[in-house]
Amino acid sequence: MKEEEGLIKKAKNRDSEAFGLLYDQHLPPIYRFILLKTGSKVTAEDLTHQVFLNAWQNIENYQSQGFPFSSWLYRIASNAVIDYYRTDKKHFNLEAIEEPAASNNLEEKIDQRFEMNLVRTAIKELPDEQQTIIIMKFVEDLTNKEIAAALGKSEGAVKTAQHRSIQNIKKIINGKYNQKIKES
Amino acid sequence: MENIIKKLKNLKDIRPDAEYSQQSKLVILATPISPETNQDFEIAGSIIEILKKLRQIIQPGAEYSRLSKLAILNTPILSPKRPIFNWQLAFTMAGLLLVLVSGALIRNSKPTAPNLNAQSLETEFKNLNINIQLARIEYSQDIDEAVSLALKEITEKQTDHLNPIILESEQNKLNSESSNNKEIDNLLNQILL
Repeated sequence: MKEEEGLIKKAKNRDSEAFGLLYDQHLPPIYRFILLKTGSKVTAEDLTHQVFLNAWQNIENYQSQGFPFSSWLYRIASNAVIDYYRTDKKHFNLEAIEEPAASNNLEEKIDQRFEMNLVRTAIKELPDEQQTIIIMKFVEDLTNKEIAAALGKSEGAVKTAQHRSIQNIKKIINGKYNQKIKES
Repeated sequence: MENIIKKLKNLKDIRPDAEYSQQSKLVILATPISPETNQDFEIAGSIIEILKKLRQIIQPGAEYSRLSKLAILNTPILSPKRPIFNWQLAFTMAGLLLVLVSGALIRNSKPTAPNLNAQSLETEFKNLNINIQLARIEYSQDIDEAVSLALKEITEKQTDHLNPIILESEQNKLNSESSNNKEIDNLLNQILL
């Protein structure tokens, strides 16, 4: 944390090397967040680039106030995604997301892919704020304090929304799963 | 009554046939469990695990990361010229403006009653001041006269009337005169009653 503070201080003084280190550290979670929200690899790359460019150009405006740098980046990312959906009606393109399969066994690979797609489509069916909370909490392992700072909400509100989100995603997944079983 | 209770207690001995129990148990255990219910439970339970796996699976491409970083760091920094805004100065100016505006309003406002005309009030105030000063001069003159008379009496030794023996004898005389005059007492009583 102190190391990060030092990097931020240097980046504020236009030290590109320091900002480069911050970029390396925060790029994967921000990219994942945007990819899961948009469902498009190209869009995720484009928006992630915009987020970091925005951060680099406005880093002097960042004030810690006890919250991590990631909360600030998530806030910029959330706004970028909102703007992206506001400009045009976009479609969630699940096929565009390609990931390396974790298993070598073909059957396991198919199962994993099926489960992953189920969870991703379920996330997309949640309301926007619940999507964000699910990704931040369960994919990125952020603390409630960090999520609250990124969303501009209280920790209590985040906890409540978290509980509601997981209940909703369970309902959606069970519904989809049962539908697939009936179809097959 | 006792017979009825005994018969009821005997009902406790009713047991299922052993062969039936065995067969029924086997049939139940061999029946496939509803796939929907079991798999529902499994998928719901593993949601959080799947979500955590997404973290390992989804990663930005290495080439993209490198190029994007280079592009960002080589982008010229826009230095937006922000107006320097000083809150303290703003409050001071606002206060000054308020004073000026209120002053102008007071100056331009017409009197609500003729009695409150500023000029007449001013002349009245000036006259009042003069009267007070004159009264003070008169009082000072009286005091001066009294003091000078007292000093004169002392210097010319005309202070017999202040002699305590003479004063006492005069008082006794007054008391004796008043106590003997019953006519005055009667008159006073009449007035009072």
